[in-house]
Amino acid sequence: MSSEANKAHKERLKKNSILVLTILLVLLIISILFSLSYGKSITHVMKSLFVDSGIDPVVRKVRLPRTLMAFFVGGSLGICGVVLQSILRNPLAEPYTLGLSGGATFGVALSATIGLERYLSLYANPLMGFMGAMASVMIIYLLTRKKFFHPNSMILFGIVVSLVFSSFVFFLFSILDPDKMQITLMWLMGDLSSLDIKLIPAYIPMFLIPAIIMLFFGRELDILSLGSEKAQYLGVNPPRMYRILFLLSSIVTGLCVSASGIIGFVGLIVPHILRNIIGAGHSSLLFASYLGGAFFLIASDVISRYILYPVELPVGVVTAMLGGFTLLIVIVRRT
Amino acid sequence: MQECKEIFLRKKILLKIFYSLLSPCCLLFTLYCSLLLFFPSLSSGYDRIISLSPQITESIYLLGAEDKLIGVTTLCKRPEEATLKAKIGTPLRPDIEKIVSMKPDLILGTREGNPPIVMSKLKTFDLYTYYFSRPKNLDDLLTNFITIAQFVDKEEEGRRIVETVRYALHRMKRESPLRVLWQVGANPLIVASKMSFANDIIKLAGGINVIETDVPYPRVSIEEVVAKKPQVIVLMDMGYPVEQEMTKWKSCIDNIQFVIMDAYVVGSPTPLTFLEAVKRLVDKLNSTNMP
Repeated sequence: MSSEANKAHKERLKKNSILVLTILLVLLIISILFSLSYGKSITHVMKSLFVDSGIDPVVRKVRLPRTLMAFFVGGSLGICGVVLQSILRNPLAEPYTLGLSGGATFGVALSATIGLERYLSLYANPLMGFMGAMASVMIIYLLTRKKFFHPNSMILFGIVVSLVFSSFVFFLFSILDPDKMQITLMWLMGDLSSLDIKLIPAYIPMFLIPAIIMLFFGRELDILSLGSEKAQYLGVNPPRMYRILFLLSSIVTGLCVSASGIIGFVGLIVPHILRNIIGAGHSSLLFASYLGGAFFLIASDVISRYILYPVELPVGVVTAMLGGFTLLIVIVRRT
Repeated sequence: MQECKEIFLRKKILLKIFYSLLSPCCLLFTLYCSLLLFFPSLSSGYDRIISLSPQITESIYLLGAEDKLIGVTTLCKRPEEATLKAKIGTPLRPDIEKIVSMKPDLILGTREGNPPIVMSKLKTFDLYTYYFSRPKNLDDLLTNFITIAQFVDKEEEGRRIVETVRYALHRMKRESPLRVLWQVGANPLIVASKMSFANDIIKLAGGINVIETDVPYPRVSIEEVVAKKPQVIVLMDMGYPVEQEMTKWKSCIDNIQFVIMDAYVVGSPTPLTFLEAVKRLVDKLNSTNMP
């Protein structure tokens, strides 16, 4: 009886996941079309994209780059959220739990303080944001290596590293020119249009390759979620797996920060909700979170662009508001 | 025969003189045309201008060229008529799509107030952009103003305003110099130093700025301010409670006097707001009797 019930439950989850993946794919396509064609006809957008770019350069030079960035950053944050929630065995973990945002903020604030944009122009913020994030990753890696990447020590060190970087950031902000501080803060609040268009072709493979690799770690994540001891019996080396997944997700998160600033809640709320609907099986959860994260960020970007038109809100503010309320509803319903 | 020769020679000389005068003229004309071609700022005739800064918007209104202004930011609130112009977003996040759709022939912004990515994106649409640096003193402010006047084809008017401001500043009567503190922020306490734009207002009003650091707007402690013994404190209407600040300073410093200035005096100054600020400070300093 119990095994039959289990089987029926698994069947239901499988059907659910196929349905959810289909719905997410449809929503994603609709959101992409909406983001590209808001206020214009779809045929006009298609013509300016594929026939003659001269018809409407705004579509090709403004809307397409930010929709692409929203897709890759949102999807990457979604997938990193699943991986980190799984390896840290904490449903409230997200890509920035391990102090990456603190490191990235420090990198960007340092760049503004020393005036790096004079030498590196528009590449200063993305480069320093990525380097800052990687610096915090390296510190946590070195600190937790001896503890065999134990989830609790990783979270603890992540929080401490984040706090230390925050104190440096406050120091830099206290000596920084108010104008530069304002521009830096706006960048950090999340902006999908801040990346130079020329850099996007270089970013796409950097986003895609680690994300594709992570998509194939579903089985290993399923085993790791049983605990380190059981995982070892089932042929998975937990410290090695933690190390690989931690580094992959950190690199992808660092790239996201460097491309668009700090966009919170995408990596927290999307895996959290999808896990409730399609279950904890990581193979489908990883795919669903990629699609869900991309859809959530594209939709948030459209809202940020048009809700107070012509004033544009930082997309990080919209994701935080939408994500915060949704998370609150989920937690209240569950308790 | 001799006469014919002479006439021919005379004609030849006249022709030579004519050509020698014509060729430099041609050369100058070619040079002028190429300058116009490569430096469009020298040519006027911009009549679809977008301003990305409140200071630029106010200057354009001051020059009486508002009919050439087609778009402003949501922060451009001076003069009041500027709020009726089409909005293109905030200075930090202007809407590129809207700017492009308005088909401007000139976009004016500031290096410090508008992010560099905005300038770079607008250039990809072949839009002509010009970015000013924030003025560090009166001379910078007046130079920027003249450049704006050239862009809107009102150079003469611009120079007249500049001369009027310079003359008015020169004519102001200053009495004994007093020690002045210019407070920019309250919490944290931020003040204007000798390297700031506000220092020029203090200096031209005949005061002495008590803050002498190299940082334009440093954070200081109350103790440090009290030790500097200011006689007049300039408070700015910048979001902090001015009344509360006055009570605070009165409890720390005896016989302290106050001048309240609007935020735009330092935030988005024009030659006229600068003159107003100096005049207000001069009046206060002259009316303050200090031992």
